Amino acid sequence: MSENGLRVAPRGFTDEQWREFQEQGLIRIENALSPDEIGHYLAAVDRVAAADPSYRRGQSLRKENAVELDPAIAELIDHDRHVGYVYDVFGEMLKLLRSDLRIRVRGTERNAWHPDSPRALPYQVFSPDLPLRMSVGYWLTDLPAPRMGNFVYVPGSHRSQHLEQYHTHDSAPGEEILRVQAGTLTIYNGNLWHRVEPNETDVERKNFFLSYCPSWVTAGDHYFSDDDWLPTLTREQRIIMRSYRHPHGLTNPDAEDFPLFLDRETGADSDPDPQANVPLRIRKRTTAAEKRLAAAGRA
Amino acid sequence: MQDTYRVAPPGFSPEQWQEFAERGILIIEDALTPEGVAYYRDAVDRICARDPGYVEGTTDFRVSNAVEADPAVAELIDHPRHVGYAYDLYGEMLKIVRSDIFVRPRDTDSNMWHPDSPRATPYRVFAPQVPLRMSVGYWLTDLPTPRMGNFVYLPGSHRQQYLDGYYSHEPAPGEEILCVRAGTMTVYNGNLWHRVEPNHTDTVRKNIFIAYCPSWVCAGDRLLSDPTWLATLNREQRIIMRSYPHPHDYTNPSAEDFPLFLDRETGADSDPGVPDRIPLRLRKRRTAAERFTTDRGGDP
Repeated sequence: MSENGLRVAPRGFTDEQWREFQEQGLIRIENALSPDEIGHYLAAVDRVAAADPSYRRGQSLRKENAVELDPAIAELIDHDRHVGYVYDVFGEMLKLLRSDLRIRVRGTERNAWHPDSPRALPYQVFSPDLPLRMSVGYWLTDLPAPRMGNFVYVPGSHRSQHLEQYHTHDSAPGEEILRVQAGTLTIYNGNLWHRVEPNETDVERKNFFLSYCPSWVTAGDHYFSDDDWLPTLTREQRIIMRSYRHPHGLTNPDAEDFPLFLDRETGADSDPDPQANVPLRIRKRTTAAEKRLAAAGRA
Repeated sequence: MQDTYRVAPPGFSPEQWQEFAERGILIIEDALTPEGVAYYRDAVDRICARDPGYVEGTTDFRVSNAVEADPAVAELIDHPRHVGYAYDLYGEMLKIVRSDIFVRPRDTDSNMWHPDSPRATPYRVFAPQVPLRMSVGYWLTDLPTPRMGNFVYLPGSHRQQYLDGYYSHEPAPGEEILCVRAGTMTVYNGNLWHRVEPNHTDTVRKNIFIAYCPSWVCAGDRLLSDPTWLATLNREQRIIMRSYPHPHDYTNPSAEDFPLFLDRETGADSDPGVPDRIPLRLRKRRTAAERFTTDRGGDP
């Protein structure tokens, strides 16, 4: 935290993680949560489920805009554990696209192969090198084997607009079935092709997904945040929700929303040699992802 | 219902695409007849006249979400004169990002150099080849010389993230001042750096901009359209407004919104080779821009 209350951007991708993210479309960080933290978030899942009058114990459950449902989930909006990764890609205009809470029980309804991208006109048509959506997964249940409602993906498939098995549950050559310990965190490119395994066990898969994008990409589960809930958030959480009454704010946020974070290396609120006459809110800030692409000769 | 769908109107010729890719702007003269110019000028004047504070010749006037302000402007949403250009870029998920009427009299409040893009994290950080926003301009006033509130642009600047003159009115080396006859239509890349000339004349510049994007890019001048007004539109116009009560529909529109248009060459509602099991609304449709960029070896 700086003297004026602004936060330095939390740590993001290492070089090795970035290479893996670009090649595989997914990175996994094991033991990201301590047992106490797993318990903290599982309790939040159980509170949300209990508060849903339609929910019955032993059922599957999906709740959208989950950050508004419990303070323990809201704290994930800008949690130091992962927000630096999405800041590396979306920078000063970072937005929470959607947040989902999932309980998948035996016989869960499950998704066929798909990317988290518009289908008729995918993000990748325009953005070939960087995702326009990234999802952070918090895995709260041990999933040591297949057939437990696992997340299944084809490594490297974020670079392809087609998958032969699209819209089916068929196995795809090279697919990987995510087997994780509770406490694992995953970060994946929204263009990655994935499906969900059936759950043929009595273990209830419980997890969160927090998906991020640039503020100028449409959100998926909210237009606005609740006016009574927003004041309960920190400055950075409120900004990342991007609850702007006029849609122009999504492409041109107010001055008070800059900087979102200070530079991780310099502690500055803008790039070196900024155009000093240009107000901070309309100054370009180079993202870590841009720097990495430039270093790779793909700028 | 299949026979009620429209074939996509004409879009970029290969030469026009090359010019658009290289310069960031196309200028199409005599796109409107004199009667067409008068028709749209009348619409602008009707809208101005409804504002009690408007005084012709002195009031700087801008109307956002202009398509809702007059039926003659609404018909531009999907007008075959230009919608094919936007469809070439955004295909089946075409959306109006915003629509504006500008009336710029003497001493107009002129915009400094800027692109029509987010500034801190511009569209181009992600989309280096095909723009995520493009604007169609209808010029309804003769602007034969500079200092008439003209649109000024730097050809080729849609490929650069920075401009020395950003946030100033200073002329930039290589800039071009758009001097046009009424009836000219322009199509420009939203990443193009541009500014507005002062108006030192008694000619009031009047024009309409209709800007487009993919449905999953946020609109700039509305959240939802007025339902009563939406009901006055044709099918394609209603789709292109993308007035969805649930935001998930911006990335996954409902089945009734497909196809927006049939393929210009084949008349089909789908690309060849797509398995029947995949519903139309979930099928990738290749855009003309994808074909153009592939044909050019992917080089912008």
